[in-house]
Amino acid sequence: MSTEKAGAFSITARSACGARCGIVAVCGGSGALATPSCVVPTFRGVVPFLPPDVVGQVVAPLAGRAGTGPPAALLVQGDAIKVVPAGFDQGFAAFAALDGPVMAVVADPARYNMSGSRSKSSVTVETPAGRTSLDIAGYKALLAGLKADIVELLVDVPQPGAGTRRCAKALDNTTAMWEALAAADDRSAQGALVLARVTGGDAGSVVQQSVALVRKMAGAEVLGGVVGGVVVPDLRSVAADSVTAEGGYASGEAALAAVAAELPDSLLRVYEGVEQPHEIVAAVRDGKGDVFYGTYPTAAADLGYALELSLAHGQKQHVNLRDVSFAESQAPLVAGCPCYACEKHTRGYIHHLLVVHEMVGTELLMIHNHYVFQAFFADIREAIAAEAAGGAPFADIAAAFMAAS
Amino acid sequence: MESNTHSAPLCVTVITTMALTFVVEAECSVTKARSSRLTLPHTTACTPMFMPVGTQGSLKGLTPPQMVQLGCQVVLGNTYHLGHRPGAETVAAMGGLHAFSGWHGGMLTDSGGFQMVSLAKLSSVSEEGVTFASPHDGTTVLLSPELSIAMQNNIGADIIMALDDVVSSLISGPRVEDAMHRSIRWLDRCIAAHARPAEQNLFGIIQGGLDPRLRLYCLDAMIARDTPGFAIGGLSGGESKDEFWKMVHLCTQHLPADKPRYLMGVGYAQDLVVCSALGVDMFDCVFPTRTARFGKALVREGELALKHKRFATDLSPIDADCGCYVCKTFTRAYLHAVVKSHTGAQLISYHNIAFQLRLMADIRAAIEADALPGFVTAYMQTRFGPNVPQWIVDALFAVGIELDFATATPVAWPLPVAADFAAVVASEPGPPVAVDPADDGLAAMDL
Repeated sequence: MSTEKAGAFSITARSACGARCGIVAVCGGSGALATPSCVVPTFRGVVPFLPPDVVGQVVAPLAGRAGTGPPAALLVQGDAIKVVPAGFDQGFAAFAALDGPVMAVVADPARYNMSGSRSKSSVTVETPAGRTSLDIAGYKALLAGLKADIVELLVDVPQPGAGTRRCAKALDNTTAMWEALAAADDRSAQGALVLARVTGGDAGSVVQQSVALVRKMAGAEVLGGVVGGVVVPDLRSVAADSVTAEGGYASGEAALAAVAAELPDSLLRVYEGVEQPHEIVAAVRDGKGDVFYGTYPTAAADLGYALELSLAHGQKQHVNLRDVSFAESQAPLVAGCPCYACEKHTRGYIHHLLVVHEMVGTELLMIHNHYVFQAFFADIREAIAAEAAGGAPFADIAAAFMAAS
Repeated sequence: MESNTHSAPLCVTVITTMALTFVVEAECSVTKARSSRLTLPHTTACTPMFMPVGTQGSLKGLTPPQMVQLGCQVVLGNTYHLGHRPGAETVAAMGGLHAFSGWHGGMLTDSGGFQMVSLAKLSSVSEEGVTFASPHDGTTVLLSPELSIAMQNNIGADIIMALDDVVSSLISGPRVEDAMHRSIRWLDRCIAAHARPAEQNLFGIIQGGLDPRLRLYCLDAMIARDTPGFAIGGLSGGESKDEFWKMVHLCTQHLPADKPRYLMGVGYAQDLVVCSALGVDMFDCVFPTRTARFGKALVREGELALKHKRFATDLSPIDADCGCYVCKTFTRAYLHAVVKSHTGAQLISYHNIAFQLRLMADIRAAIEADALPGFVTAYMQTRFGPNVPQWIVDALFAVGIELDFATATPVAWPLPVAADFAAVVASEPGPPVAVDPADDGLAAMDL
């Protein structure tokens, strides 16, 4: 249990290459979120195919390792609108029986393209029942009901391909909403770490202004919480734009490097655009990301793949369990893996369940893949901490990972 | 072989080895219900019991540890489906269905015969067997009694079922009688083909449609074959409940008391209560898990359609008295929020299985306390209020329970349950319950 005030992010170890371990003190019963970390995408708190009791089983083999607890849940704010009933005041984690921290973000990385009307006081968000307009009052009510540990500020995100004018407008809208939220006499985000997003679409100059806005907001109190983190979206498509008088980034690579350098070191960095294991290792190595979205293990399980991945041995060619050659295989998904699916079931059985579309087939792959990913992050945290204690440089470990993958 | 059995339906096949013991531990003094202990190679089960259906080698949405936690005793697999995918030989190569699926408790496989009805458009029947067209690739397979048993021997369940000639219970006429006789002939072929009688129990299935004469003939013939247990087949296929209960009553009246009686395809809670009183020991049905996937949670009063908007703000559990993981953990409001997701179906399935198993534990406890009439009265009052369906009134009257809510003494229901549900299933007799005085003096009808 961290002694830090709830909502605070502190860095606990650094490597020579810039990688860092940290901790987010959270208000829930789970104590803290150790970084680098992977938040698991959920629909209203449930990991697809994994009821909460099974999620506990997923991480059980990691018990005792530093910083490993119940996984943090990624909650999309649009999914959660009007879900927690007015009469329930214990917050979303209690409502959804989640043991780990809850991070409530604006956009679902899987359906990011939000179009619709936006203004200086509201944005259109997608909900399971269609699109709705989320204004400042609605946003405050949402946060008050969720009582999430990490919350992202209401933001206007331009859809991919938007022109520079639309991007600039999105930043104007975002600026106005953040000012209004900062000025509001309201404590809906009490105890939470508040995230400000880098916005601006593909327009390099607007992204640069957006970074300046995030810098300005850092440390500010908003709705009773403190802006202690930043969401960095996928900036790889950022380009030079016509409004270059104020600078701007010439390319996505330049934007990624510059944003990392320009953002305050003290902010928790949620690196939204990075999902693949080798990208994650590189981002951690360079100190660009502390928190990542765990979309990769879910997507792999959906497609029938079992991950074979570890920091020490690299990422191997994943096996697809729909392959008929596994029909009579008595082997586990991955030899030596201590997860429930590998300990108790065979490739042959899981192949059969996938072929006949039984839920438990995907469930077993999800158990394995999420275990692998959580273990991967535990390895990363331990390696960084070990360097700080005189162990091998994390940069070397990262290089070996890349070479082995 | 076939011609011999054809003309000699009453020949007795002596079963020298059985893979079960069945001990009746308590009998209701009013009805035909009994509480028994059924010891199988992979489990010792308490009956009357409900057996969830894991059609294709998995109970839909639930993992084996969850099934253990729920207190599942025996789980069904479907030979027809497993024979198609992954194939019975594959299951055998993987060490049998227990090893293959990771469920190490009791298991029962059907013969594949039911698919004659459910997949009627894809099947045709002859003396040799049933010919199915595969729904997957169109190839035809002749499912003979010998093949059904060979497949079930490969799958390796504790209880296997004889292939019977199942006709829809909506059909009447000579086809029903022919099917009954053929089922007897096929039972003999199944017994002869059964290669693992020391490890697997082959049950015969009583057929005869809705005709008492045919049922009685079939009963005599199959009882003479002395299989380790008997199923009541050919019901629960759309016939009227009036006809249904009378056939169950007739069968349990004539089946031997020292062997388990299995009523196939029955799983509505009120049917479980009535048929337990009629003396049935085993039930199976896809209903609790299927209805869960439609978002419906089972409660004593019936079912809750959790998709309905009114549950969005309901902060109570599905059933405050249930005690299952889902009821201890989630509100109806939360389940409403996730009801359309896979996980919603998984959570509701979990509760529904817990509900069915809990109901059976309550029935057993009531029998052991010789308090079944009071239990049944309280159950029906909760379930239906004053409007109990006539067939239930009639069926219960036939075994000595006269539903009379006006004069009934309220009975605590559900019975108090131990904190650990699995312990109840494991099972000591439940606490005694006051016997409903309204039932005193009513003797079981002598049929």
